[in-house]
Amino acid sequence: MLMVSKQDIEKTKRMEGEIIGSSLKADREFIIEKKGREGLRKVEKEMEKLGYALKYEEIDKYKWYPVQQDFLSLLLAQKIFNWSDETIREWGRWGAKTNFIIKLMARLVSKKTIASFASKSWRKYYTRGTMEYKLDDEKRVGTAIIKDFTIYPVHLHYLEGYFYQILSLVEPSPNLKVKGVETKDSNVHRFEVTW
Amino acid sequence: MNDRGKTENLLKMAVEDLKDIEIYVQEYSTFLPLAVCTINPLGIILNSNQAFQKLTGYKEIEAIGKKMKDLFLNKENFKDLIKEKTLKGKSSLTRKMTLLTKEEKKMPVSMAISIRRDEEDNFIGHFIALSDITAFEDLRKNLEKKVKERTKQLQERVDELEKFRRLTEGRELKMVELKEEIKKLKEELEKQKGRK
Repeated sequence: MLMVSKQDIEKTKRMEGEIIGSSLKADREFIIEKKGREGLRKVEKEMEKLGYALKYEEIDKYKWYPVQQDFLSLLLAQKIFNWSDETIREWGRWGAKTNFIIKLMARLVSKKTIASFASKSWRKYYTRGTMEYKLDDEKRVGTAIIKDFTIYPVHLHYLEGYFYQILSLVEPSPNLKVKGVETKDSNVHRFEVTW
Repeated sequence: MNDRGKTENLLKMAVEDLKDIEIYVQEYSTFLPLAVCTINPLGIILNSNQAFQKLTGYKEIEAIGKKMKDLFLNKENFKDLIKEKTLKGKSSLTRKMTLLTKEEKKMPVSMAISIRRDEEDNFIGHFIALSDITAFEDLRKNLEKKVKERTKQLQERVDELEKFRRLTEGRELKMVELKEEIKKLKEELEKQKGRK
């Protein structure tokens, strides 16, 4: 029996774009950290049933993979391990902390540099979609908008954690919050940032 | 080979070079016995090597995002040190600090700190290296204690000698007095004999 409904599988198959291997690898390392190699094998087994077989050891950090590899691993891990939205956010924070690209982003020294870097950084991960980030320092709010990219709730929570971690490097305020907001357009996703 | 073929070849070589660099950096970082981390201009840890994790007790995933000053007992000292102007004109700075490990153990460390700049000379943070100087501090304290004890012993000896000196000096003076008196008495006696 499949863990994902037929409807969701069809929607997933229609997703376009690719994701960089280093991101996939880092995300699977979270599963290993939390649930061990056995836990990861469970996720890989379910992915194989859905037609997206890919073993962690075979992932090439510098290759591009179908974006379904990203979304399905998040969705299946959440279902298999019954992970809460907060755990998914923790996963996003992990992804930001461990990614080699982030470690090299020494230029992220302020919220302004993040804003100018946002659209370029999206391209380092995905071949589809765009991201822009606007901030208002006076009102202490910012908005990140991702367009032309399919994001399901589990991925939304992941990105909340991911963006929070990146922003916390330049805004260590305890009041920093990142929240995904639903929009009418399924291909446009907004994240509101306050600090 | 056409242009497309050349570009693909160059890209393939660039990716292979990048993989090699990444492996080299990771191996070097793992090997380096000195605890090293990088922080951004706000003093937030961006990454750390294995030696740093071993010294502080914080895994890299726990250290990233932490404020470096929170790892020290003397937090204000650290904040002053990472101000850009503090290091201006100097390639690096070394200071003795007290590290607070994850297990809340206090550890004396020598901290070396240097500025990082990008290719446009913008300030982008610091490299920090820490070395455990517990053994050195213990040795220093031990030596200080020994020097203190030895000094005390020497002072006691000096005091004893001084006391003895005063005693003997007093006795000598007394003997001189007695000799003088004996001499006078002898002279007196001679005079008495002479009169008879």
